[in-house]
Amino acid sequence: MADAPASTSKVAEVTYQPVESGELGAAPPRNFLRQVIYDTFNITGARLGMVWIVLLACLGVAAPFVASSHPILMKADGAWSSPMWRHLTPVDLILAAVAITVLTMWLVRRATFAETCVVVVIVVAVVAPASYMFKRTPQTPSYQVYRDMERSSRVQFVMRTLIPYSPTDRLRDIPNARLSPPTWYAPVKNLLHRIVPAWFDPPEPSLVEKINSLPAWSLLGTETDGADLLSRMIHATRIALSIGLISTSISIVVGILIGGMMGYFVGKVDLFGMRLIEIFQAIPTLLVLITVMAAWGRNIYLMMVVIGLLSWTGTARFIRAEFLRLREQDFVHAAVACGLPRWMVIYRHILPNGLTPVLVTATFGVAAAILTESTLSFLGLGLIDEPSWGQMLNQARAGGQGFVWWMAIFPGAAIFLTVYSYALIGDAIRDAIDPKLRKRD
Amino acid sequence: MLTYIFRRLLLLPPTLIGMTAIVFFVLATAPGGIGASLLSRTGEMRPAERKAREDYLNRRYGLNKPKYVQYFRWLNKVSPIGFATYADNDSKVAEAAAAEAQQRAPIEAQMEQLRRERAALDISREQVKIDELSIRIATLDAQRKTIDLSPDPGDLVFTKPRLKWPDLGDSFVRGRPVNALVAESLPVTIMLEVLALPLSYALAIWLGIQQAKRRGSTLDFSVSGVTLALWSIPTIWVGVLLIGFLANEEYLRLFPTTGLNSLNEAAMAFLPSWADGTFRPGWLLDRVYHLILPTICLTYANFAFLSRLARGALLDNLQADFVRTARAKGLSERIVLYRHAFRNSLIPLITVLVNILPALVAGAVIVENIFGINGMGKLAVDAAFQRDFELLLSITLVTAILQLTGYLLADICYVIADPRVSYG
Amino acid sequence: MENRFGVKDLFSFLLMGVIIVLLIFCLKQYDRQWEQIQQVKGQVSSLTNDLSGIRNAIAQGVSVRTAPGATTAPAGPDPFKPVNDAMAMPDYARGDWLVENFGTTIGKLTPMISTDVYATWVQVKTMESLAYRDPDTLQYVPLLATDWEISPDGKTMAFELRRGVVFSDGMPMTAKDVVFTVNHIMNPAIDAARSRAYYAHLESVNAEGDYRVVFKFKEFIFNTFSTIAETLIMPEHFYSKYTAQQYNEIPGLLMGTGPYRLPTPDGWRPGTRVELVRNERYWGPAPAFDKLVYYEVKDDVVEETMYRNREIDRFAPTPEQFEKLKTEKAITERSSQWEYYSPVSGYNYIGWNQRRGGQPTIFADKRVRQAMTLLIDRERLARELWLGHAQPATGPFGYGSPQTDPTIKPWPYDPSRARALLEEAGFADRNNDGVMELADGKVLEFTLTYGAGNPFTDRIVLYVKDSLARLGVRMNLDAVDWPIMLKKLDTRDFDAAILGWSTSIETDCNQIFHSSQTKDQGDNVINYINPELDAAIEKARATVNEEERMQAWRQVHRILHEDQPYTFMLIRQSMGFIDSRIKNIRKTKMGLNMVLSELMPVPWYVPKAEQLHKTIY
Repeated sequence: MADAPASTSKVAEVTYQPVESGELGAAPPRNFLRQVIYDTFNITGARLGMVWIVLLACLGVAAPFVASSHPILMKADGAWSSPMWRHLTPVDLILAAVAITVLTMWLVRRATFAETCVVVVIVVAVVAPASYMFKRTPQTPSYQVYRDMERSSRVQFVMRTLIPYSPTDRLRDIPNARLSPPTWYAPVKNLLHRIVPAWFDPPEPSLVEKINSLPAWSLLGTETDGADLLSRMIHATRIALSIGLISTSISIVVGILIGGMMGYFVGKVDLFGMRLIEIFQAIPTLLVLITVMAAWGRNIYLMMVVIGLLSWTGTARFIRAEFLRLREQDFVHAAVACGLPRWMVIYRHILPNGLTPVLVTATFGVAAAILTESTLSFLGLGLIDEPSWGQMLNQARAGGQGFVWWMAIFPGAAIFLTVYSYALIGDAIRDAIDPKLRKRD
Repeated sequence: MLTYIFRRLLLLPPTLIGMTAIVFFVLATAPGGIGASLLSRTGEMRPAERKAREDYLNRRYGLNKPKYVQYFRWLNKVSPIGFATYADNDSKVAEAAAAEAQQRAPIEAQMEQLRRERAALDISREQVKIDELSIRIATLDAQRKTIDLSPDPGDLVFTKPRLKWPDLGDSFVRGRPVNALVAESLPVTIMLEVLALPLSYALAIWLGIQQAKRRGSTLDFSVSGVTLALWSIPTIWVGVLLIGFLANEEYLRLFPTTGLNSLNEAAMAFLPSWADGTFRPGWLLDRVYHLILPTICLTYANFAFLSRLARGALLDNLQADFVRTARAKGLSERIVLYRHAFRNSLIPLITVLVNILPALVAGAVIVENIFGINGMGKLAVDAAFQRDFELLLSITLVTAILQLTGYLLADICYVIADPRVSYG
Repeated sequence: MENRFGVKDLFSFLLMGVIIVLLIFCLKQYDRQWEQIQQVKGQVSSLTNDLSGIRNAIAQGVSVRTAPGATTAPAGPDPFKPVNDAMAMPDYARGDWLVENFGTTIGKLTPMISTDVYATWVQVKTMESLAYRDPDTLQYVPLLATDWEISPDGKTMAFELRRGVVFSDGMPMTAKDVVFTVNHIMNPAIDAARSRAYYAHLESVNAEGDYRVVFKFKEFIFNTFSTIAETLIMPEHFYSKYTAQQYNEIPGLLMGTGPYRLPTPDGWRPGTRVELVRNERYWGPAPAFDKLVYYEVKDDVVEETMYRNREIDRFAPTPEQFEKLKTEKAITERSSQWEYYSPVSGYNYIGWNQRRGGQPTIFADKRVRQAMTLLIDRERLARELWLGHAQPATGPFGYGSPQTDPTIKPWPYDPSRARALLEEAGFADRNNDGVMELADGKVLEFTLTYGAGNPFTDRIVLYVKDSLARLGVRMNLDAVDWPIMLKKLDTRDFDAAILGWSTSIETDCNQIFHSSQTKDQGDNVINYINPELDAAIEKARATVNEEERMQAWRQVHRILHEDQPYTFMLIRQSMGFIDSRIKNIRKTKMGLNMVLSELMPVPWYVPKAEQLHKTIY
């Protein structure tokens, strides 16, 4: 019992809230996970959160089809072509293939989760090598070519994407494209001024507005280098989602391994493990991350790994506690008595039962990872050319041009909504698990 | 109980050593090295200057020693029991240096010979040969460096260890003792936290009680949603928006942007005053005015988290048997709530309160950076960026000690608050 | 559960907390005021001492000199000509403060060991050197020295010191102090390695009598004289009180012979504002301002607000801020605007590494380098990034320096010529992936290494990337921190790097372009070897006659322009607003007639009627 109270200070965020409607009775252990998921998505908040995350995932997959400077279809100088197809990267293709597969599986026949997984793996196995071998993507895309052609009226027909700008299309052909406000802003401001003149300044353009008046339509304005903000935000969803998922997966795997060993072997292993946990809890994550990112370059994958390796302690504590509880249960004793090998006892009998509470830490872990990424980007340690939300938020105030409101509001809101969605889901899972935890006391 | 505390204290040093070792080796393996961080801040240093400064710092801080030696030296420095180091004016040092010079002399002569040979070659035509010579010179140089007899000022004298005052080392970049830097920054952060924490606790407890009273109502649900949302708002976003809209010439200029005081603070009286018909805010109000935005930033997330905690704890207790008994006794709902349930619900909150200690150092990192407040957080982030490794390591150590002490205190508090818990 | 804890207790705890915090604040404030009182007390006592000294002197019948410096009849040019000229102006008045802003917080003021650029601002106002460079003629004017002799081989230099100069505590400055200063720099226990490097070839320094110092050097190096002339002289009696350790660690040990002084020469601590008061015992004409005050504000926006509120007198805006404020009446009415190119401001460039890992890179071909320059529209960068406050650089020499060949025009922006050059060099997109290759498969691709964290650099880099991409040149980005950058430069482990050099009055480009500097961590990091250029540089350095030397430098300029080992990017303009109450500001060859980081007399003043700050003692 040495460390139980110490864990309270860390686990304190798991508040033990009763849910009146959630009296589930004694469900068999195998169905516990499914039951929890079912209960979770009975709660409106969790549903809304899930909707937002699915939306982000869709946007992430569809980004090159939604926001791209390359027209979908174009007839120039009498020849038909699809620049968008030409510029799709293998990753784009694989993601699209996976998304289509999942969608089809879901629509055509309601396959189980396992079946879907198998099909997806097969599809990836086919599409990935094929696209890497055969897809030749131009390495130095020039985005202004199409606009130049249109200006010299060489284009007979063009079909563009919804947002006709790529995230790294910095509109070099348009003079002073950088930092133009959303196109709707000036009319709205004028209108408001006409209605309540006292509250809103006369529509005298501010500094950044004065320098620019972008001839093209830009829904959320442009950023410091002239690229379209909305396009960058859409393309950044990939990073936002993957950073949370990958770093949390790493932390969970490490946490389960260490926590499981501690809970099963107890004794010296446990004592050593607890020290390890304390050590890792005492490490100031942000400072180490800053050092690592500053030293090894601004690499998003490295960031994921380091976040994962520094945040497994919560999971390990949970798993350990569950194992400590479960190892004394009859079914484990029975399994050991039957002469099953140790690893099998752990991974076949104990682990599935201990896993569910980890869902809560995992969900909040994803949210925390997204926050960490945005903080690092905010401190200037994120990506440079490729878009990320935190980096855009940073540009809202850095760069000597003063405060740029559209660069602050929109990316910040995206971060917030995503973190909130994960928090809502995590909270709902906790409520769903809770009655069980209380039963066992 | 005492044996438990003793055991925990005994486990403290290994944990600290493990933690600092990890941080140190992350720093030490970083490309560019730790030593490189002192070479230049502007990049304008001439090669000769850089070489001179590098040698000076290597000698003084032992940066050319193997990594584990560096780490051991640092440990020796911060630990209260340790070895002495050589002083600059030790006669033995001078003797050893002379012996070293003597042994190095033949190799140096050889190197000089090769250098002269190389200088005679024509760079545009005999590049390959020049490269070859350069490599040979470098090899000799390495050989020369292996003859290392004279102790540097930082080298340890391995006699009997002695008790000493722990020394946190020096900041390379700032060229000042870490102790002094921490002594300057810590009060600032403590002030921020001392303002923010009670505020968030008071708000959280009040809100938690209100929610628990109206459990299950629409108000309860919506407040829960809002507090979760507050928890989710990134501090960087709040900071940027607050500064951008409330402290900006182009929008509302209601608050100051950075710092803890107006620039003319030295000329201010302490309390507000009326003089010549004009109102003078005085130093105190000025400070408060500067603290409003940072405090908001520090408070809201904490408050959201704590209020959820308070609500949960209260609801837990409201369902407990003793509350049922109290109700059955016919006590008024008010007394049941405040006298019985509330007091017991404070326990988890108090346990969380112990986290104040590490929060004193690490809690305000982001806020301090956004609002330009020179506290511990800013010191730490600057150190991490400049790879000022003794500073970073020592801050890490201080934070960790506070955190582990915090856990220990939490355990003790727990026993005091709840007699049912005991440690064997 | 006896320790009952209720809501009331909670609030009383809170109240107690608030009271304690207030109490601490109050004590802190009291402490601060106490320090101020101590300062004033110290000042009064030192003035009383002076006064009694003067009284005694009068009582003993010694004639009192009008100005301490007057007896040493000006042996050379008058070091205080700018101040004397200003004093001759009709509205000249003493009084008021000059308030400036450091762009950062500074950690140390102690001379020789401070690392901040801004610390020099303070040091050159409180300390003085043997001579200073006149901003108009760019020649050295004697200051603490009156004369000097240099032996024909340049290895011996003798300085005759001015008599009657006193430090700010009243002690006279003699040859002993100069010798102490140099020995202090040479002391290996002092963290002054930077300054020490310049004296590395020093053999001995000796005082001959009280007013003559002789330096002997092992060899002649062309900048030796300026090193000695610009070394700030430290008072021996003050600094010798401290051990090397103390000297290295105490942040604010600052005393000298300068026109201003710290209120207490050892009392400044980081985090408190730097304020300099007039040195009452200054040996030259007293400067106009009562006080020099330095704020420490990093943020551009805050600095702008402070300037608006007249809290600071000088404001160095970003180009955006400059353009915005230039049109605001509230600003223009009360400011003088200054935009100027300074010969010492330097230039930035992209260096193309010609040899990496023993192999020649794509940039070993001159045509590729020229094509790169042709592809980067520097005019547009100057226009859009700096809003016109910059211009393309043509070579490694300072703006307007006679070293530059005036007939050289910057390379234009001309993509089609660049394409022709690249095709001539054998590059074409052979596999239809958008990137050009040579026939042997060598791709026209490189990584640009640059220092992370500067938004302007980020923007230039992205601009260059996009420009090159249009022609099928692929550029990857490598943003690194300074330590790593330096390491990469030292080991020549990069393809191309964007950097800046600062220039001097006469720039010596030997160490960045001469082939001998490719070895041993020399500054020719791009492995640029051109025997013709080597010869030209050597000739220029060896030429004594100034006019001939300039001709030789121009030859160097022409070779570099043709060869493009660097793509010389931009020279930036310095911009500033200065409060209009400050008079006698004019442009000089070094920028304005008071350069903050250089030692020179303070010619500025504020007429009586316009004075803003009053000093209350």
